[in-house]
Amino acid sequence: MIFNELDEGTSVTLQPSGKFDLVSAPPLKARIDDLVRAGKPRIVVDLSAVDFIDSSGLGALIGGLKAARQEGGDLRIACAGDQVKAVLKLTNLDRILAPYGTVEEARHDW
Amino acid sequence: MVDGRAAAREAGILSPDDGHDNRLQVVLGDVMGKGLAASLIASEVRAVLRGHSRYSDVGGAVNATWLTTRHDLEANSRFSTLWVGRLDPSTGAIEYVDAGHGLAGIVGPRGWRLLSQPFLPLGMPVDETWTQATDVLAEDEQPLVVRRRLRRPGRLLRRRRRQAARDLGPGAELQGDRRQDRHLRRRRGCYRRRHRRRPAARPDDPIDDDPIDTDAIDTDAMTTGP
Repeated sequence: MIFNELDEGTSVTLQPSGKFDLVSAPPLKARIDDLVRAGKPRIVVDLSAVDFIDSSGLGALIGGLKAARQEGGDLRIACAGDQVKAVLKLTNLDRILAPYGTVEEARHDW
Repeated sequence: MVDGRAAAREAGILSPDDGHDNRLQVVLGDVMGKGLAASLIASEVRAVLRGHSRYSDVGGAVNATWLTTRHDLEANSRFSTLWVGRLDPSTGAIEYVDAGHGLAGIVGPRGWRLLSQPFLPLGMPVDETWTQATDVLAEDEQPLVVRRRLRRPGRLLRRRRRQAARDLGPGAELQGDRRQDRHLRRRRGCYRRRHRRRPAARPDDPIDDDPIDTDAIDTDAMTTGP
């Protein structure tokens, strides 16, 4: 999976695109793990270009969230589409992965 | 009655069990991911939950299952959604826990109501305690647990409601609830993009480890009633 990455100093923004599923989730999760290990545990995942997410994609986000929090950081999602929001709502995962409207909002206190 | 054929072919958890003082327990779950690891963890969650269900109420069984499977879920970065319901056919009383499943309800000629709770799935990086809720089915109602990715849950519920009205006899009046139908239509929207009809599975097909392949499911087999 090809995804854009923007290092903004205090945080890193990752932007996957297309389907966030079994195929595309592992590379993103691996990159999140690399960033956390490299001392950059504040990560925003910009989902504006994602039109579908399945349980593997959710798992990558939850795994990344867990890894980031263990290192004192956080993983936040921004610009989620209707399908992503609906899946988060249905599984109640919006309780721990609250979708922010924009990347700027997601990193407002970093 | 509930049919376990689907569970034998998938990594999801569909576990009918009638060993609880003549009560029927139905479990529908999904372990995140695909492949052998997800299948093994799904089997573990299913077996552990079935074991704890022998000695605990529904809420206690789910909490005990989390404690037992926590290490494996966390070590493999997995999580599992669950809907667990235990129905007493003699009274219609149903105890249930919804751990991030979200698509279960009671359907009857007067409409439907959700049996959902705001709990997280098992395996989240935050503390959670699952407590059971209760409801009572009227004689003309039936529980319905819908699997993820169902194409048209609203259509299914309307069909069930019409069936329930027919069961009451020719004089029965169907009382639809358009607001509820709209709510379901919004919920189903999240699954529409990826829905492409696949050929039905045959007995000699290799095991499909996708836990949420709607087309292989006979939704009639997933409902039960007193």
